[in-house]
Amino acid sequence: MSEADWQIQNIWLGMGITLAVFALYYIVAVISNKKTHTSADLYLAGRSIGPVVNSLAAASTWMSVATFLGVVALIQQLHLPFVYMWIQLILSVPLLVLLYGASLWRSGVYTSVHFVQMRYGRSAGYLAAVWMLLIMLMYMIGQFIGIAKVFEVLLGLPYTPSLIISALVITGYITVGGMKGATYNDAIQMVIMMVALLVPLAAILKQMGVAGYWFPPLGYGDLTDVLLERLPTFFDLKYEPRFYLALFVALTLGTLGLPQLAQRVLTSSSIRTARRVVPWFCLWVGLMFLGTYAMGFAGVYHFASIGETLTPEAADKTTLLLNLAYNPEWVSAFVIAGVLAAGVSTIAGLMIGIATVVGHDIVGSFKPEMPEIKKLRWGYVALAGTGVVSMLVSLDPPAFLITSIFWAFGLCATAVTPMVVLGVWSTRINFWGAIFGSTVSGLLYIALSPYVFPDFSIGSGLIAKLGYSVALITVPVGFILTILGSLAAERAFAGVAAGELSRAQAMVEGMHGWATVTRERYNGVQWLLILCALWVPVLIWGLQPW
Amino acid sequence: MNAYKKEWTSTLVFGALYVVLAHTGLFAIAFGVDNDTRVLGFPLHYFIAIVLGSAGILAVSIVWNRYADQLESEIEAENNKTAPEAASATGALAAANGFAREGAQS
Repeated sequence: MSEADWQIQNIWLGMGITLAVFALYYIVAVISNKKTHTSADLYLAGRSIGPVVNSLAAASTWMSVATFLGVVALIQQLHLPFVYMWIQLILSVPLLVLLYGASLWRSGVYTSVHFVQMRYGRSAGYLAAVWMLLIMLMYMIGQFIGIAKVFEVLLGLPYTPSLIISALVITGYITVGGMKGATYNDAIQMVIMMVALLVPLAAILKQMGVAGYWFPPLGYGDLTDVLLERLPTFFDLKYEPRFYLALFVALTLGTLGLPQLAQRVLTSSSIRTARRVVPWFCLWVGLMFLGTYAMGFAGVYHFASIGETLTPEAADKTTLLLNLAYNPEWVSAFVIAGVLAAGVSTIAGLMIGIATVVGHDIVGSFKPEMPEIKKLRWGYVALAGTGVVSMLVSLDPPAFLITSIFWAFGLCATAVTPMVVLGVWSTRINFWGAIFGSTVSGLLYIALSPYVFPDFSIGSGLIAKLGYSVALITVPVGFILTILGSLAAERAFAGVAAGELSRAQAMVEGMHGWATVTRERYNGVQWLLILCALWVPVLIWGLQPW
Repeated sequence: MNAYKKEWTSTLVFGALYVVLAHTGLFAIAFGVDNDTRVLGFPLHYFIAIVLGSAGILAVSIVWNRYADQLESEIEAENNKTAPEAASATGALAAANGFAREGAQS
């Protein structure tokens, strides 16, 4: 199977639909630009977004190019364990809002970095910024490369011009529209994605003779026997229990700390609307994920029926190949619009996330009294700069930046999640513990991964490459050091620590909605020590050879 | 139970529910799998994983939303009870933001 098999024959059809959707994104961006008057409008859409639009935007930010291309191939290659890996990604926004999103909304921060800066001080904010920028950059480069590849297929251009054209077009509309434009465009893109995945899938399943074609998310059970015939071990669990525990430790705890998702929640118009985002988000993401698994099954059925074995490169294009085989060409063109929507919406969230961290959290901390008009101007510069720099890095990315995004989730779980979540729920976590825990565990995660010092790597193969084997050690270390470091610092620097504790008590109680500062709430040490004790067996298990 | 304790308990309970529903792989290992036991044509453990990991999470989110709204009203009611001798909610937040300014300069 060659490249020609997944290319649309009528190139003008693909071009036409792509131009049409990008024209729509630019119109929305220009309208939003006229309503952007302050830096809060630019970064947080003026905190004015309702739950349905925000949930669509959050879901859209969360869906990446992989939803259409890579995932289906990975289901076919890694089978059920990959489905388990993917399923739990739905927890990102629910756990984020439950554990700290609502509290961050109350405190009026712009990003998770801004919160860390408020909670622990400027130095800790810079440390959090370094981790989060690294994670978001890794994420964004993957999306830019993915979109450039789609443009390559669409336009038949070489990779580099495809990357430059796509990156400039995307950077343009995101910079013009800011967070308002990105939010409404993301919502539109999510609708495009759902239609582009589920409707053609129903038509494909119908032509395959599947009885439940009318509800693709759960209607493809008829294909199970063909799948088992082709891949008898598909439904086997394959890995030991540690692998499944690592999905929680590395991925669930990692994704709940992602700054671009937290920022989405902060655009809500009230606490209640922020919470309402969660069920809507679960509905959209649930439908998309279920549709992806169905596409994976349909792919296996189709290639079994025509007696073809796919190369990994062709497996990546399963969604396109199925549409080209079963649906009219204009449907495939619309599916490409869905793939582009998935990529650009993720880039939009990441670009605004990076620009807010750089423009608001870092530059703003040096010049807190900057006039609003200048803040806005610098915000636009930060947005455009983020796009251009990411494009330049994507042209020839250093190897460590194109490792799997799953690896970056493990870094987030290790270096970011403990300082953010513990900082919201305990007044006893302080500057020293946060810096100590985040720095040591984050560096340990990088050092033990196979990308830096392969000889010291923990585990091998997939579990090492995706960071699972390392995260089982470094995430417990991150939590334990953050807690014990804070409590030790309380004793070692009693005078200064007492002042910090007092400020933390006022802030944390206020963030949870309490009008009075009792200095008793969220002040216990016992639960922190229990949490440390619970992490010890995980750490010991993680240290055993895989 | 006062609102503060309810906040802790509900966060732990809903957090645990979310995690359990989206991580059924460990349960599949514990209870074993059988491809011949089918629901809607799917092996039972696959069906449980995809349904609980989508519809199950959605259901918990709806229940949590209702509970969190109710809890917020209870926190406001407790705030109102202590309001005469205490700072207002905006006062507490102002204190927090005061910390922000100090923190930003530390």
